[in-house]
Order: sequence, then structure tokens, then C-alpha cells
Amino acid sequence: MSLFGGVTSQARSRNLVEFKAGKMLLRGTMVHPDKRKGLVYLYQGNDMLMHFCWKERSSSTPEDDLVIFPDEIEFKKVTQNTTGRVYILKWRSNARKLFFWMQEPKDDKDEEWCKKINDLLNHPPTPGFGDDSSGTGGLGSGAHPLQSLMDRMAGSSGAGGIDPNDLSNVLRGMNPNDLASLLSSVGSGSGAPGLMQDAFGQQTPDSRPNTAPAATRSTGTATATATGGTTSASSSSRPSGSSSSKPRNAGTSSSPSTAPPKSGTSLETTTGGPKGGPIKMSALADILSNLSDKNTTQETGNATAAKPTIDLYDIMTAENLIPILSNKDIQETLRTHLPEGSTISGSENELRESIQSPQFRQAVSAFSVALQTGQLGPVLAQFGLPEEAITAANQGDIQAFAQAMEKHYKKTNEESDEKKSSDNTMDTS
Amino acid sequence: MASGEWCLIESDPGVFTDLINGFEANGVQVEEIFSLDDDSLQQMKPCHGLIFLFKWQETDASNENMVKDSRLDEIFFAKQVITNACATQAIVSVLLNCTHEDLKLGSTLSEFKEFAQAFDPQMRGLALSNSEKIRYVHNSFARQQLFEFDSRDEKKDEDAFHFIAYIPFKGRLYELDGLKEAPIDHGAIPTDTEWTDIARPIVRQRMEKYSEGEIHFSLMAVVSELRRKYERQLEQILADSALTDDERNDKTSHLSILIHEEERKRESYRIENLRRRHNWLPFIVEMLKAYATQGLLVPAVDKAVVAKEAEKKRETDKKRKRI
Repeated sequence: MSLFGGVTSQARSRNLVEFKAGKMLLRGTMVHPDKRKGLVYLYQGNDMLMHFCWKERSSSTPEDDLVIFPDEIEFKKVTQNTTGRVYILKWRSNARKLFFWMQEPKDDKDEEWCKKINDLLNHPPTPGFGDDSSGTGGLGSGAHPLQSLMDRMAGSSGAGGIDPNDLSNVLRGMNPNDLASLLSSVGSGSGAPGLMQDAFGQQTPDSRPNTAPAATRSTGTATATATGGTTSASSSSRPSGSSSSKPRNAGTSSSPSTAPPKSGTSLETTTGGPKGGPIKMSALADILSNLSDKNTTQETGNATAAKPTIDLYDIMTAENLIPILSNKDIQETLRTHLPEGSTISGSENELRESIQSPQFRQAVSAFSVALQTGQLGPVLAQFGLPEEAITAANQGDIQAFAQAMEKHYKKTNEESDEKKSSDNTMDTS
Repeated sequence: MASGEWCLIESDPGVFTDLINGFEANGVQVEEIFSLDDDSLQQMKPCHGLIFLFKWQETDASNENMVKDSRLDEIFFAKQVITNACATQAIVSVLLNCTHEDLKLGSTLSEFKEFAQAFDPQMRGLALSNSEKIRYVHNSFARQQLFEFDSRDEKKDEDAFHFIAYIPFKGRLYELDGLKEAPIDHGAIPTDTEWTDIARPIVRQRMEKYSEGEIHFSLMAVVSELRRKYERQLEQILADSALTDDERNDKTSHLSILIHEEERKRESYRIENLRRRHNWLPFIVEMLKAYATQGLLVPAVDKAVVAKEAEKKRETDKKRKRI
């Protein structure tokens, strides 16, 4: 389903790897080769998903086209069969298996292909910012880094544009910095970025005034609201519900306000923007607001991808719990937050059991992921946690969070301890 | 067409038992069976259905022995429409096919049965997925969704089980698999034979198949409420004048232990449920504050990060070596 009436793009990259291989069929407990001459190949779709395919060489369409996610499979040589060159595509989470036999005359590249399949399926190439795995060709120097993406979106690669569903998939796969850059290019209008505007410039009479270079006012508006959009998408802590309407308003409200003539000084080619099917601002806004609602996990997850995600439950070891649970004050406080009706004896054991329960464990895991994907800022702010901790939470930085917490609470504790000891001039023994 | 969302629930005998009670059905409970070979099934009879759960969304392709005749009108079989609902679907299927006196179906399920009896399997599946009441109870056992997203995007998906139920129905053994078109007939149950004895080799075959593929599976049994059974037995023993005092004491103390065990089980289900539905956020925040106060938070977090990084490195090294 395409907004601009063109052919929905199914265009995709060249095959990332391909080699001649036949299928094998499982009959009972034995595997028999399918004699047909075939081809195993991988490609990455516009939606960034990896496809593992097999087709008969005489055919143009694949007989099998499987979408494979990272860490889902393993492709390896079958060692029981020593005579043939049989390989297995094995799923990790269930018993599914597919077998293939190499049909390339020489086996010197078997291992290389095997490795490539594993690498590509488990570490798919990231969207085209300068990489040409997407087959859109290399970027000229000085081209906007998002040029290839824009090209694809506009279909200048010859495929007729991008389906909004694909678009949301693509945007979802982008890392937040690039996404922010893309969004800011929506509003800036001056210079090379402004690609999106160019796109709109082509489309309807409404949007044209929007993009006329002289209309810096509308540009300004667009920038402001688009930036609003930026923040909501890339810094996931803020709720994005309201921002979705803004870009749309910018689109409509600024059109009457701009005097300049539809002289069509719209900027087509000066900035080398896309020529093909443009994308409606409103559709993009919708998609982006959906993204910020649902997918901030992944975006910010990418941003903090440097550090692996830890599970806070792992720090709640028996050893660590001792000083916590033996403190009467802490015990009391914690107890008040236990589910009602679950405290029977109200003893330390009770607390320990709750902490060791699978339900609590899941809650802590969920909390950990939420914290490290920057979603907990606003929620934690309501608990009156120190500002530095909230900032760290917004950034998904758990180590900074821990440091900020200790900085505030440990100090307070030590101070009050000092105060207590200085108050007690007498030894009460 | 199915309206309303069905949440993922745990595959746990406590959850399933409470689910049944939530539907206002009484007289049965769900127990996990760990071994087909020992006496556990024997001890827990009468058994009204076996539910085999395994972590695989597909099912084998064979269509042998599929029921195609008028029995389809009698056996309650529904096609699986919603993945998350399949636990409830399996349980409801067992209950709606059970005619044992111990089971009191209750109004919710009885009404549903009446309503859906005349439909074909596909429509029955849809009817189930559209049943507000049933869905409501099902969702009340969902995990706490503290945050907007689903933390299980790590594709661990522990609960994406597929369920297959085995039931005795009018003297024959049937397999109900929501991913298939109809029930599968596994043959007659000879008189004076426990239906579970007939089911045993069939279930065992499945277990072996999935073990090979390293697929996790569990077996649950829907049995008559154990506590009530033990209490009845207790009454009988107390009333039995033919027993010696010693014999009587022996048996009653044994039963008392079993009854106590059941009470303990129910109590722990209750607490688990409380914990499941509880918002742990304030508790977690207090714990983190406590750790921070004691100066334990930073070292523990740093240590965990280092450990995780090392683990990741080991994983990538392992992967490289394998290839």
C-alpha cells in the first residue's frame, strides 16, 4: 500500500551471499537429497530484515523465503555425513531444521559461505549510511549522510518509493543519532538538509509554500515542531503523545501564512533531493509518533549499546541481602511495600522469600530493562529520587544511576550517623 | 475479528488451577506430572485430561485418524485462534468434554458450551477468543506490565507454548490440537483399563520426540480436587469399624499429611498470585535506596557490568570458534 500510488517497493539489495546448493527432504528419520539444481542466497529487504532463500536455478522466484532474526539460527556442516557436503540450518529455540547439500563444483569456498551465512544472519548489516550493502550504490562525497536512505524512500534507486510500513521499519532500525539528524533535516530548509522538504515540495500545492526558500517563517515553525518531534523520538523519556499533531499543524497552518508565490522556487535539484515519490509529512509524523511510543526501547537501546544490559536481580545476592535485611528500619520500609495479605509472620524470612520469588524476579528484570533503555526517568522522578539519578535514568545509564544514588543516599546516611554519634556524648552500655 | 487482547500467562499448575476456579468451575485442579512411569497418575485419579505443553509453535503435519464424522458435534474441539489464549483454550477444552460427577462446570463455562456447541471448530475458537468473561479471567493472571514495552523482547519467550490435550470421551481416547482441523482418534479404551494407561505410550512418544529436538515440554493433568478426595477417604476410614486402631491411625495420619500438603499448596498459589499482581515498583525503589545507603549499589552494579561484558566476549569467541 503506497501513499503515492506508485508500485510498492519490493526492491531490495543484491544478494549478499549466494551459492549453488540443493535442498534435502526429511522422510521419517532419514534425509534424502532433492536432486534439483538450486541456489541458496541471502538478501536484506527494504525493511532491514534478512531473508534466507532457496530457489531452483531455473526459476526466478524462490521456493523458500525465510525471514531470519539474529541469534535465531545456526548454519553449520553436518559432520555425521562424511562423504557429502551437507549443511544444516538449525533453529535455536525449537527443533526446526533444514538441510542443504553443496552443488558448487569445488568445495574450497564452502567454509567461507558457511561463515558468511552465520555472520549475516546473526549480525545483519545496518541501514545504508554510506554502506552499499543495500545496493543503492556508493555515496558521493559531500552527499548528505542520509542521502541513500532518502533515495530509497523516494525511490530514486528505481524502485518507486517506499511503503510507509517499510518506512517505519527502516526508521525503527536506525540508531537515534541518525534519526535525530534525519528529523532535523526535515525542518532546516537551508542548505543540503531539507531533503524531506524537497520531497514535500513536489507533492501537493499545499505543501509547496511550505518549502519555498523565502518562507523562512514556515520553515522556522517546521523546525521547532520537527525538533519537538526529534526529542520525542530520540530521547525516549518524554511522552510523545502530544507532539504528533504538531508537525501536521505546521504543514497546514503555515501554508496560508506564506506569501511567497508558488513560484516554485522550490528547490528541487539544488540540494540534490529526491525526485521521486515524496512522503506526506503527516504520514511521517504518524509513523514517528508510533515509533516514539513503542520503539524507543530499541532506539535508545542502540544508543547505549556500548554497555551490555545487566539484570539488577543479579545484584540481589544472598550476601548482598544480609546487611539490607538485617537493618530493622529497612525491613520495616520494605515490608510496607509487600503485597497486602502476603505477610504472614512479617519476619525477615518473609521478605527474603518475596525477594526470591519468581514474580519479584521478573519485576526486577523488567525494571532493569526499562531503566537501561531510558524509560524510567519520569516514573522515578515521582519517587523523589535525586536529580542526578533521574538524569542517569533518562539516559539509560545504570552505572551513573548507581553512582548518583550512592552520592545522595550514602552521604545522607553517613551524615546522620555522624550526627547521631556526636549527639551521643555518653556511652550507653 | 477477535476483539480484545489476551495476555501471556505463565504455564504453571497453580495458575491453571486458579484459572479454573476463576471461571467458577469447581471440583478439579491441575497438577504437574514429572514422570509417566511412576504412580503419580495412579495416585491422582480420577484424571479428566492430560495437557501436553511444549515450546514450539508448529505442529506435525500428520492427519491420521482425524475425526470426520458426527462425533465432531459431540466432542468440544476448538481451533486455536489466538496464541496467547492457548493455555486457557486447552483447559477449557478438557473441562467442556468432561462429564465426571466431580466437576461442577459453573455458569460461565456452561453457558459458553451451550453457545458454542453448534459451531464448527473455527467458529468455536473465535467464540472463545471473543468471550469477555473468559478473557477477563485469563488476563487477570497476566504478568504485571509495569512499563509500556514488553521486557521479553529478548526472544526468550518462555511461555510461547503449544498445548495439546488428551481426553477420554465416550470410551475412546482423543487428542485435541488447536492447530489441527479436528480431534485425532487414538482408539478405544478397553473396559477395566485406565484411560491414562492407553494415553501413556502416545504421550511418551511425544516426549521422546521433543527430547531429541531439545524442546522443553511439560505435562499437566486435570484431576479431581485432591483435598476433597482425601477428606472423603478420611471419613470412610473413620467410619470403618473393621479396622484396628493402629491401622486406622496409620491411614488417617497419612491422609492428614496429604491434606495438609494440599492446603499448603493452595496457600502458596494464593501468595504467588498476590505477588504476580503486585506493583513492585515502590519496593524495588526502596531496595535500591537501601543498597545505595549502605554503599553497596555501585560496587554491585559495576561488578555486574564487568561480568556481563566478559560473558559477551566469551559468547562471541565461542561463536567464532564454532564456525
